Amino acid sequence: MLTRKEVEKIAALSKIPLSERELSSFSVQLPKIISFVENLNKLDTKNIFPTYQISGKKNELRKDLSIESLPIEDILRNAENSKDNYIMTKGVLDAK
Amino acid sequence: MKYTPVIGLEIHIQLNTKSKMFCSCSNDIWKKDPNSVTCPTCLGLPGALPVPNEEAIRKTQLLGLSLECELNENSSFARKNYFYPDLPKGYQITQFSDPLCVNGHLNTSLGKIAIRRVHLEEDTGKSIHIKEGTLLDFNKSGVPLAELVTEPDIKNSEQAVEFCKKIRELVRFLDISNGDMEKGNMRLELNISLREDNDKSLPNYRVEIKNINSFKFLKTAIEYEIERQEKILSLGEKVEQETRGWNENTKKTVSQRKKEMENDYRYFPEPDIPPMDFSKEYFDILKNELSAKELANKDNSAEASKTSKKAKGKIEYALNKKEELSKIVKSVIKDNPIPVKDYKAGKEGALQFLIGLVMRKTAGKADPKISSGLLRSFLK
Amino acid sequence: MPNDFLTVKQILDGYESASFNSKEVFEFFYNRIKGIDADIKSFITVVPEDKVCVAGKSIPVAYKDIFTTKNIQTTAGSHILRGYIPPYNATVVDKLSDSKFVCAGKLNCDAFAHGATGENSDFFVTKNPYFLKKTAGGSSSGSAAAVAAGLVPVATATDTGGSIRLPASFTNTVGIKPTYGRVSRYGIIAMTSSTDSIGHITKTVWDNAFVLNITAGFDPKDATSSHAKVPDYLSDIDKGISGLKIGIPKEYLQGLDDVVEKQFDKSVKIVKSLGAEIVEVSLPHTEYAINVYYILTPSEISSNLARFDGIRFGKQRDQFGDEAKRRIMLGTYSLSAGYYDDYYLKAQKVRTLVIEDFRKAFDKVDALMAPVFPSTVPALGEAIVDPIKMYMMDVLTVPVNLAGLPALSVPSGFIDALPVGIQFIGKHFDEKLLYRIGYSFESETKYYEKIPNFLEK
Repeated sequence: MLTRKEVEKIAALSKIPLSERELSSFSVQLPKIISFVENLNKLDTKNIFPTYQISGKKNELRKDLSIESLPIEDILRNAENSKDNYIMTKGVLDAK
Repeated sequence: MKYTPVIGLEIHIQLNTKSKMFCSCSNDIWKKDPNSVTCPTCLGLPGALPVPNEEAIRKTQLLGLSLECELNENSSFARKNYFYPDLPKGYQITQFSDPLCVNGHLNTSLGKIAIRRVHLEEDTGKSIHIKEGTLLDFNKSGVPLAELVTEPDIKNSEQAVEFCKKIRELVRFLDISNGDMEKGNMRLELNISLREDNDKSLPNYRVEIKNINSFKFLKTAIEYEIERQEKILSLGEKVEQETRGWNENTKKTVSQRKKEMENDYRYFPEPDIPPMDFSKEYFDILKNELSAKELANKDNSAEASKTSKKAKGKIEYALNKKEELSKIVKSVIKDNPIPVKDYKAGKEGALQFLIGLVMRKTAGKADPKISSGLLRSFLK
Repeated sequence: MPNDFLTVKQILDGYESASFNSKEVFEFFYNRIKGIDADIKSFITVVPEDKVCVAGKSIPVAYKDIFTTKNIQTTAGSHILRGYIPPYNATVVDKLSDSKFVCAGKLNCDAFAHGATGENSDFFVTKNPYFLKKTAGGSSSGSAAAVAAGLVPVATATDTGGSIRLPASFTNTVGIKPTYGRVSRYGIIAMTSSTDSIGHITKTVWDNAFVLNITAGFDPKDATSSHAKVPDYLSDIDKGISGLKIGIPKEYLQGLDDVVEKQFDKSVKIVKSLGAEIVEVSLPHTEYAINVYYILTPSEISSNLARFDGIRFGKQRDQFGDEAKRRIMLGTYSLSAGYYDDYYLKAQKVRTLVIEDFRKAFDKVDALMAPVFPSTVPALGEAIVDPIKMYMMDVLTVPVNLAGLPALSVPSGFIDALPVGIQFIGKHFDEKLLYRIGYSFESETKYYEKIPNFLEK
């Protein structure tokens, strides 16, 4: 069963800030949904290969040619903050 | 109690392709205005999709081959999910369970260093920290990176530096990267721990060191870290498993701010890119291209040596006489209709394959340039 | 101008016979939008009439608001992208524009396409023109409602788990969910990369085929798009279905409301009368498809929505709606260390079983026929109360998405004056046959003639 603490951990990993109210309601809803999908446990899939893609395609590669990039105004237009053609994010960051 | 260092290296090599890894933006980003070389794909705009650069794949495989790696016939891309402002999609497209190259090695004067894998991925953008926040330049986002990971076979700082220097020489020789550490073409990370001399097993911890951007600092950082860890262990304490950054001003490694939980990257196969299937013929072309390059290289250095030149002089002269070489070139063409067809269809790699065969038939004596010229004129 | 509704075919015929010109056509549709949409609420953005270029023989089109349109606001139905102005067009937008389809606006949808009723839109709820208190279906709610109300002759949409077929069947319109990879996904805000299918909604089958002729085809910018040759979907459309074998998966008939079952039987009889042979088939893993879907979809969503960090575009992540937050967290959980094998990997394995079911069925038949939804059109407020109830609305549509197959939803009548649809499911890249079947069925039934109650004078 998914505990409230685990929901908090998942929210942090997903970078989803949750209010107390949301944390409470998701702690109730998420375990129910997980139970719902666990219906799959009824099936034995030991010898079944997973299907990751249904296109069946292989080797779709691109020739190494370059084309023009987007104009800088287009890049900055939607950014909340920018400075000297850099996009800027405020606040302190952890080192990677 | 004596300790032996156990060192592994991770080297990121920016490939010198014309375009980026998953989009057609130019790969020439050095000293360009911020955010002047981007597109919806490398900027991570909603709706954009990645398409892999075939040349980046080829260059990575050449590197793997030259390191005696096995090339995987089946390979695919995966998503590595984490959040950081210079990672526009919130995930990096990289390789996980089936990298392009595995199980190689490189010889050094102090012994063989095993190479676990060489895989292909995309670079992140650049972040510059200032008072008000962080400035982001996405020109570097999407640049192709070959990542080389060694086994922890490296014994000391000298061997580490020798290894890295050889890799740099190699990527330049293969013409897959400028290998310029100042420009960030080659980036080093190391994993280092100490084991007791009488202990055969690997240590139960690892310290990751980042932010090393020269061979000089690689040597100093390793030596500093060995000393630091030795001090801790000899006091009977445990060395903390963590990531540390090299500070070139204080000449020390510094603990980076620890995260409460281990980063869970939730790798899964990249759904936007079909997997890759390489044929034996394709691998043969790569192998022959490598042979031709290596033989050409050997030839040049042989010419530099006067004594060998004298000894081989007569035979080389004979072989480089056009009639002799022409006969050999013609027979290679006759015996290899498929590569001939491929070359005529525009595949330059097939020419390299044929040159390689000519070199083999002449035990490496023929001049590759003359051979190439003959092949081209016969196949016009 | 004939009546209140203009199909693409009628517009083309009108241009051909010089009965009217582009300016008049656009005026016609813009007047309808102005007069009707306040009650239906299908548009998020209407391109101002004076900004629309109506030169030559242009036809209006509206795009589901997850289609990226250059210089026109694209919101994905979410607060996060309110005000986002993309610097590029989706490939489909370029293709339609090159074929003289001019963008009249962007259509409402569940935020990030998460939903089956349109009630998850962060903007407002689109109403069903056939009954304003009922849902228009989702996630392509605006697309279905706009076409049903005659505000545009064609609206693009996407079907990841039923999001074209469900709203089309609720609104007496025709919806195509093409084969995965048939139409380029480049420029469509991604939900589930491995099942997102790019389609459209129209009033008639002919119109629908006409538009697929334009949007289908390989796109070098979408590595998953198919190199399969694009046939002319209009040729042979009126060939009829005599001799065709059409299978009915017995699992799809379980759990239907009585009235839905009765209406479906009527449709089966019609198909028989048109000359097709009806065959019973079995898709034994049908019940598990919905579980597979609700592991895979959140997993890919959790990754696809990671780019919304409020830095290069959009608002901060706390602005995600409840359903987006739920799906992102479910996905993160399914992919996380220790859970990947039991959830994500397990789901992809069961997916193989679902695909195999279809492959076996198609050994015996040319196409399948099935209901789209087990009940009648839900009222607004009915399904939104419970996430799982909302998810279960997709139970008859998601198996097709997992297998990447094409499906055409066509009107199949009315239950208490509310539309009900059926879907024809084909082999990969067999949209041409689906159109043939749909056209035959439509010519016999002519359900498109019944205009929405709301518009009856």
